[in-house]
Amino acid sequence: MQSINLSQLLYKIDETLQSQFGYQTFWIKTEITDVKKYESKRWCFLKLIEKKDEQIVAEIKATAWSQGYAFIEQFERLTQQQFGNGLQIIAKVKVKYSIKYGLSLDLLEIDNSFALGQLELQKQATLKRLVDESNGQIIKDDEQYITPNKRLKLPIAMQKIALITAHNSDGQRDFKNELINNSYGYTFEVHEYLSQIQGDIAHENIIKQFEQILSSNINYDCVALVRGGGSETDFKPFEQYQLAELVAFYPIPVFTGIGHDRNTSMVDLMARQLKTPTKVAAYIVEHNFAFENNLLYLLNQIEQNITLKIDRAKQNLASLKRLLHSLDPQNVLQKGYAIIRSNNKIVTKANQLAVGNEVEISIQNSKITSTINTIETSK
Amino acid sequence: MKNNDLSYYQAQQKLEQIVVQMENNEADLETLSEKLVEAKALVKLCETKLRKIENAIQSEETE
Repeated sequence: MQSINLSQLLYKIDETLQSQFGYQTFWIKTEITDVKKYESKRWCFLKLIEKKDEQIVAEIKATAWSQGYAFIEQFERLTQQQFGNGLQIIAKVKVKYSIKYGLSLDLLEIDNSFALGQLELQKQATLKRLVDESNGQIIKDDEQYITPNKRLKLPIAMQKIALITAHNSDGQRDFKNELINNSYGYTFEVHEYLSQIQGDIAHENIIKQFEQILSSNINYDCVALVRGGGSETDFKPFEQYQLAELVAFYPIPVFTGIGHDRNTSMVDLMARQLKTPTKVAAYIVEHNFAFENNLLYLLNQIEQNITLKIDRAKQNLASLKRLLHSLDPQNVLQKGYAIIRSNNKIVTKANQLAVGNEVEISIQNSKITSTINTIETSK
Repeated sequence: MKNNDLSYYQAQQKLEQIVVQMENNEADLETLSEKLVEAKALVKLCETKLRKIENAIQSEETE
């Protein structure tokens, strides 16, 4: 039987494909999976797939070399999402065949406007679902979302704080430094609940930490969910429905400082968003300062009130003393008046006396005994 | 209740009552001096209580 080498056959395939596709490029809509990035080389290996009813109906290997990798980096900057599994993209590709590595596509370009639009659509759909399934408890007001968590009243002072963050991260350090070195000398009790903050299952880990905080039965004043350092692009965990829903209904006030200025994640929208870990810590410190300030103001008010009452009491007492002085009989006697007593009773009318009676006359500092000689009554 | 056991407010009220009685000539001259002695004691009591309150506030402020 006549045969040819495998390579001969594969070269024929290569020639056929070259003649069919050559340097043609195609814009295709596809989902990506099995993404492996080699940052130092600026290569990315991945699979492009198409699904129907959740079943893969088409699949091919793809590679982004440095040209395509630049678009991946741009994608991550613009969308603040990692170029990772499950994303829908529109990409410009070229057919490539190697007799050693087989058929694949070279990823040359990504339509980032499609990616952004897709993400925004997904986000809006998820937000709508959050509102629709909340029994009226999550309300959209203009661009803000009013959630049960946001409606929780903050404690008058916050000292006991549950911190959800990644171990040894910039966010963890920034948050704690700002709290510990606060200029008012306040002390805080910070309990750390460490979690993976990036990656496909990060949201599940964060949810576990939220659950642990509740099961600890410690009366925390607030929860700080902070993130800093690491990838500037992977905010996917904070766009997950489950985590956003948990935060929206969480019974302890939640502050987010997950460090991105351009976009606001769904978790941010459900909580009190303060952008960075440092800003969360600074807010807590200032909140406590406002409380102390209010206390000092009240104390001052009380002191002023007491001083006013004492002054009034003094004035009242002085006025009573003046009245007493004017009513003191000794002071009347000083003016030349006298008190006449007969048989130890004060005489106020002439008919109490008769000629010959002995009377005692009190004047200032002296008593005089006298006998009545005559009585004349005035008309 | 002895006068010394009275609160500032009670002492002041009692003092005011005596002054009103004296002003209205409700007390005769015999009892007037007794009332006067009591009133003077009440004034002294009120003054002492006020001084104590003031001292307490001042010592709180300096702490």
